[in-house]
Amino acid sequence: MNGKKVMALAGNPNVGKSTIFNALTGARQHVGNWPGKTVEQKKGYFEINREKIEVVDLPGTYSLTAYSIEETVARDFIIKDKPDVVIDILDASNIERNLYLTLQILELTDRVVVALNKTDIAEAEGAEIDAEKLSRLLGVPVIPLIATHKSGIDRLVKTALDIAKGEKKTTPLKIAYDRAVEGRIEKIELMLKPLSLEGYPLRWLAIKLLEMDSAAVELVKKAGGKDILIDISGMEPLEGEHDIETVVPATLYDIIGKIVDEAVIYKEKGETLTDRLDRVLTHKYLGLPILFLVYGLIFGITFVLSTPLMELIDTGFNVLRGGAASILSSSGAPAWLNGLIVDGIIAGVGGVMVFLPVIILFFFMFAIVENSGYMARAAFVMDRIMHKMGLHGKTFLPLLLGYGCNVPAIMATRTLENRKDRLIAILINPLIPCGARLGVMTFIVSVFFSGLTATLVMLSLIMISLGLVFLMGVLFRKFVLPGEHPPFLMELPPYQMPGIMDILIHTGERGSIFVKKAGTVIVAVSIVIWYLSNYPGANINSSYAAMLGRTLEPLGSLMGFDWRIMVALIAGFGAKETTITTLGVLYASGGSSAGFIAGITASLTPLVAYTFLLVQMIYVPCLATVAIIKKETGSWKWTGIAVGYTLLLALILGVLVYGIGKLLGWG
Amino acid sequence: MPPLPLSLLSPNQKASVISVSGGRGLVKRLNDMGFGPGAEVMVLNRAMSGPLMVMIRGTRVAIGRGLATKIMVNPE
Repeated sequence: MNGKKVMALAGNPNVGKSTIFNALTGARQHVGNWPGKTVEQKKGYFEINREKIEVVDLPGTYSLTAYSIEETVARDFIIKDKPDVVIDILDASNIERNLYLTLQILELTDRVVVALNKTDIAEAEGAEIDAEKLSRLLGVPVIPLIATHKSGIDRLVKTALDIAKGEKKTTPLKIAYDRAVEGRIEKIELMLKPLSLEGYPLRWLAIKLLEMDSAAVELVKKAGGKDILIDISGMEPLEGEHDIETVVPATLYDIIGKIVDEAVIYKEKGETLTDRLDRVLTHKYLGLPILFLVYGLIFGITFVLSTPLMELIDTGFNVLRGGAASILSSSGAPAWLNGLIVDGIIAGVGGVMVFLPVIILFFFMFAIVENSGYMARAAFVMDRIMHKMGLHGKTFLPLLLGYGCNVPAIMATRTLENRKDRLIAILINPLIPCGARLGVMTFIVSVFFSGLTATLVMLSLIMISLGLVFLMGVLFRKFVLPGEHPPFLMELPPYQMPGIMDILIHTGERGSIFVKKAGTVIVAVSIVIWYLSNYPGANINSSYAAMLGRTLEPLGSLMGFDWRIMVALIAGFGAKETTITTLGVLYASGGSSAGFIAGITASLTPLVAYTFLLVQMIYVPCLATVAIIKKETGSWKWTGIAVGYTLLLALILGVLVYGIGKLLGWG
Repeated sequence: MPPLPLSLLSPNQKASVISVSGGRGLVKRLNDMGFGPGAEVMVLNRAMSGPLMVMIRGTRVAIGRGLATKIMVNPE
């Protein structure tokens, strides 16, 4: 044995790759990002005969071009990291399209074993696949599987290990293009020979250069092969009606057609379950109501079940704070230490943990719907509406979820494959007022307005937020992330019974990502906010936060705000709920809630109150949201843009509304 | 029947792809998803507007209407 063996899992999206990954590694897995990329990387381990095997889950892709980050990541791993074996997972019920990736993998490495998954579904749909014949045609082992029942996994592991250790040799099928293309490939291969090309297979690289694959071109340029590129671009175009971008895939699909003819017997194919379900679920008129029903259920269950849990956690932390405070003071700890531990650290940790029930429950429900295959249909149904606003159909769910909490909403944008679509979805999400902000809004509205006016005020705020979502969506698409509107092209996988194991692992992952990444940042900043609100003076009136509020008062006065509102807004960055508590402390005379309401209504006119509502709804996302934006975009720049534009937008709207209101004599 | 863009193909009518037009990346991506010349395609679902649901090489694919206008097909 020489060193740890590495297995890479490759395959199209929706083939059951993560089910196989979970079956192999169980809970021994680690979720991170590919170095320098926003693409999620999953690694795991398992042991067999006391030998530790590493499993790397490559991103699900249909091809291995340089057009998407996922595809680049997958092919770079196969080429550069040279895994000991690549397990290529096929969906047997979808074999034609799946073999397209297989052939491309075979062009890169001969250490391949094909896992033919979902053979049960294929059979039910009338496709009988002769695995042995398929294996002979492809020149690599083919292992039939039903991953959801764990059947065939042992055989797959054994075969993969044999290949990894070199005990089993394969003779992968050679792909021959037509004579004109082959001639060009040969020529380019000869030209490439003198260059040192980091282990890239020359034939493959030659094909990619013909296709003008950007990464391949870059590689050759770097290796000093500029002349080769000039020679290639000087080559005559192919005879016939199609160019190289069409000829290469056409050749692959030709070969696939012949393989399928020999290895697959299609029986009379009746109507499948997916056909029947799709007829209802994506129906012209029924599709949308059903979608709202499903989303309603997801949110209903998430928020109904999480509210008592959140209260429980909140109460738990309050008890903990009380206990810690009395222990610390009775043991004679200094007041600053007491404050730091009780109001800084414990309150900060509590502030993070309170979100956990929403995140766990939501992602549990989300995983069920996603695994079942419905999520792709939801995007299909919604795309009609979202498209008009320049957004992808899959942006809808995260937006809706934002009304509950922006944190899981931003995590949920992971379903968007295109980076630009995803960035836009992340950037506009904070404009949707979350539950906490809606709480602040409802409270302030009820203090200043009543009856129909209150309803109209609330409604106007919601409409403004929606308008801003779409306005910013269009602006971001146009100016910040320009480029062609990414075309809507998405596979709709067959419906399936979601596997409980996959759902639990997925839910656990999302929970732990939140606690680990967001937790550390949130706790640190909570401590800073605690410090600013309590020092140097004895209370918030004489704190750094108050000084900052007074410094910012001139800016606030443009919107009719005094320093106390500025302090409340600053405190609200930690958690939006604290806006109210802070206002309570600052405006209350005597500390009662009646005193607070009297104090604040005496100090603010309805116009200022409305401006405040608008500004607090838009200005900077809360700390937890900022932390998750950083985590999900992997970039300080985009995090900065999210904070900056919301701040600016709030300021502009605040000044405008207050100014116009005053002009109209409402102030 | 004369050739027409995929976006105008009636539901449940089988057709074969003649050509795909557009930028290099788009053409490659459509080819990768199976929309190459000769492929058999059928529209499963289409509303007045919005994306189409089509069957291509045994897979259901949702495809934006704009994109579907770039694929010329020959109805059988």
